[in-house]
Amino acid sequence: MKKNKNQPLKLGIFVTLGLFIFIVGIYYLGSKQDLFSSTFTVNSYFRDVKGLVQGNNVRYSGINVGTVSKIDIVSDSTILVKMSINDKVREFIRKDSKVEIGSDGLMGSKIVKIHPGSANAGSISDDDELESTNSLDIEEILKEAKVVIDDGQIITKNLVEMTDNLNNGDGDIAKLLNDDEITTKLSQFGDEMISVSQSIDGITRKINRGEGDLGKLVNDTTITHEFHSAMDQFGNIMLRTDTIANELMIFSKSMNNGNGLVNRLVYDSTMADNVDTTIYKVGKSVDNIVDAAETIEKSWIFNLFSGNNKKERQEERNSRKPNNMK
Amino acid sequence: MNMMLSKITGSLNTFFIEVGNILLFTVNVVKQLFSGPFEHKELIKQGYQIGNKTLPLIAITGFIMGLVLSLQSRPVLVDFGAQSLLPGMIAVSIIREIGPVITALLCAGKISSGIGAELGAMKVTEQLDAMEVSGTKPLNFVVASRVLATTLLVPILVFFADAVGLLGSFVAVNMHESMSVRLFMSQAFNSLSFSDVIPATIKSVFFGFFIGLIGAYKGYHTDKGTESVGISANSAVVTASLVIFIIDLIAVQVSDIIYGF
Repeated sequence: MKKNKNQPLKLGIFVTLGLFIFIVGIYYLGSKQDLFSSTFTVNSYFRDVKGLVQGNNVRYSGINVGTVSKIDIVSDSTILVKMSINDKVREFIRKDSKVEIGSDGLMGSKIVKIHPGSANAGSISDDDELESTNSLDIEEILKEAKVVIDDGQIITKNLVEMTDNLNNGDGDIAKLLNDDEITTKLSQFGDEMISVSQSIDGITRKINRGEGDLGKLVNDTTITHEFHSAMDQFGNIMLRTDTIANELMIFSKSMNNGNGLVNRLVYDSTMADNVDTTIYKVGKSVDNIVDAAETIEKSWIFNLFSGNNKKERQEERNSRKPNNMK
Repeated sequence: MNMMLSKITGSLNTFFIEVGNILLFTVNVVKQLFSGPFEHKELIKQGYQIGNKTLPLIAITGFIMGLVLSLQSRPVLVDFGAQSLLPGMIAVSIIREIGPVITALLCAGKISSGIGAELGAMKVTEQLDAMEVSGTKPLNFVVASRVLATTLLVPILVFFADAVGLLGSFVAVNMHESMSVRLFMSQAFNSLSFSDVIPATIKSVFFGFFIGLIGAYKGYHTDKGTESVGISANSAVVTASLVIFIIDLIAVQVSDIIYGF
């Protein structure tokens, strides 16, 4: 009897729990689909909805904000998609927001993506229309992938040929890979480079120690000081040269513009002719004087008074003649 | 040849007679449901037997089904790198098909056979005749209360089976990767829609109704002799199971037409 009394209670608990599970499930499902929140409608026109069906999710920046409420064929190339979107996100969806149909993952169901619009465009209103854009679907990706695969095959074929040539050919790279001669020469070259570097190292060590002229030049400061003093002297010389040049400039200016003898000698052709005539005349007079002197010398009177031996004079004359001839 | 033809004709006749009898029986039971008196005590008693007593069986089976289904499906999804779809896939499978059908089959095995055997025994021992003589309508008192109890409680058992099945799936998912309850439920319910839940619930009501009805029919029409009780119980299970699959098939087609899957 007691057992029978508890039956209604147990049955009541059982039924209540079962209905509770059902109601919670329905409520959770409804809240997922914004069934219990206020919504507004947004329309968008597409050429191809790519398998979109009623109830598919609508996402704004990756967040589920609503569902597709209706899909209608308007004309042969236009399909109307009505979306029921949660009223809470209305302020974030702009009038210039773009809508596209995408996939939820590679194999997932279709979704409608709303991309954010510009801040200066106003918020969307109920029953407004959003512009749709075409997204890259799987078929297009596969078409592009096929092109990439074809290119990849060509590249692979070329690579195979290239590696074959590298392994079996006689080109430069093949020789580099397969021939030991180059590596031997490179090894020799390396050895030589090592010995050269050792020699250079010895030279630099000597220079650092101040050995030889180069070492002194590098390490001894006396040469530098001497060079500095020489440069100073050279500077003084240059100053003097500058002064002389100035003076020469003044002189040449005076010569060019003045009325002195030099200016006239340079620029006055008459005076030059006169000077030339005078020099010619002076030369001629000198020749006459020389001739007169010789005449006097040869005259018997002069010889008489001078007392010179005629024979001695003759010898002297003879001794002069060969010198003059030279 | 003529013998075979006559056998086929005889089988067809038997089948159609059976269908006709079931239809008449259904009409009578429905009539009894809407006409008085309402046997609420009997309803509670049968409800307790059908609901509470079957719950552990349903819970264990549902949990194992969710767990096994997840473990079996996971490697395939891992091959595609789509293991994140597992909760959604399992949720859809359990809610739409596995929960209602497994619950219904278990109820067919436990409840329908029980009703068939109980009513068969009552028929054999002439208790049903005694009821009629004493003025109690056996169709109302014995049959209608049981059919109503199964019709109401099988859907509730399905809700439990769904919930426990999802729990089993959650355990299976967490065997391989760490996933919070919140994330699991979110992913599971993201894949679900009302078009999954509503047809499954309506289907469960029909399952419950026919489990009770077929059990009662087979028991009510038991032949004379004790061995007929066993035959009735066995026949109830087989027929109920077959009817469950037929209803499932019809439900899928109707859902397709209504929701356009």
